[in-house]
Amino acid sequence: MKLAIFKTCRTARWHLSRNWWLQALLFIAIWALGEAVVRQFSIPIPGSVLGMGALLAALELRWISVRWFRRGARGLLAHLLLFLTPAMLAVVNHRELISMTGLKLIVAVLIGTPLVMIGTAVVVEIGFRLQPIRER
Amino acid sequence: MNAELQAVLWAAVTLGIYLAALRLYRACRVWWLSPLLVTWVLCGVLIVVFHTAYRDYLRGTSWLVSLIGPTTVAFAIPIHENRALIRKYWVLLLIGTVAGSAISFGSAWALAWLFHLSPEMQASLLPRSITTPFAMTVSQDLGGLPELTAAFTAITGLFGAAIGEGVMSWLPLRSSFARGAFFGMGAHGAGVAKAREIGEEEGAVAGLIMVFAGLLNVLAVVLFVHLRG
Repeated sequence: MKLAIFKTCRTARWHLSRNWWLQALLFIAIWALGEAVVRQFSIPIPGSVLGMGALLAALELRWISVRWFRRGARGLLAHLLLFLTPAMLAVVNHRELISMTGLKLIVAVLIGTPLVMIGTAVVVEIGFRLQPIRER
Repeated sequence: MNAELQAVLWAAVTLGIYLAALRLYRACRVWWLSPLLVTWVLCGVLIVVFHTAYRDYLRGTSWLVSLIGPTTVAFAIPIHENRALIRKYWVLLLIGTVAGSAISFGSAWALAWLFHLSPEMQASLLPRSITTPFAMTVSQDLGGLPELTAAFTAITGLFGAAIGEGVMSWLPLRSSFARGAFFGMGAHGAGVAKAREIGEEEGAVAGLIMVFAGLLNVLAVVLFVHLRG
């Protein structure tokens, strides 16, 4: 009996470390739990962020193995764009954007993006060069 | 057509276009064939052509949107796997995250002021440089429209990834850190993919800066909203 339970556990673990669908279900469970906790205790941060922090802590403390999550994370993150698309399509509800306001917003994005890229890179480069050489 | 059938059909159309676009992109690798852009534009055109209400489209595809939450949880794994890098270079990562977020908010605020944008549009524009799941949360907390923020964020990522290498060749960047921060802060997800093509360390740094900037902004805005009451 004990052996049977042991074997079942081992098989479950084996599947968990290989199958990305199962691992994705784990992430869904953590997220749902995070949302429930956030709602229950009225914590102002999103449930997904709480779930992420809890998962990170559990991994850091070696309570759980990263092998149960690696493939699921890669699978979910690879398709994030697909999950975002339906939200982005809400622009069809905003016909008012086909106007001067829409143009201004696009121009603001197009000007802002290189500013952020260059600014951030320059600050980090200066920080890097100010470091003592042995720390690089 | 009955509503359930229509919902299933829209989900199938979205998935089908996405998978086809993914294959096409893997074969060609040009930025304007990015699956994000192709799926967005084609689905948008279909919705308009068939006079579908966005509400009806979302009925079939909202389950995709609810996977954004679990995917945010999954950001924990790249952080965990790069913990050695974080321990060694946490100062530089912190500098990049804070400075990048400040520049991104500052520039968006200034441009919104310059263009006389409404407060709602301004709030939707502010978080455009951080990765979309976090950007949508920040937008909501600031009183913006999260769906519009998702669209601005997508344009930022596409544009940043498209111009990135060209702009970078003009900058005297010696460290892989600055190159990683350049892409991770400026163009989030699309930028991280580009940074990975340049180098392993660039990709890792870009990914870390992207997630850290997202977290920093979400927590800062929560604090801001809380203090304001």
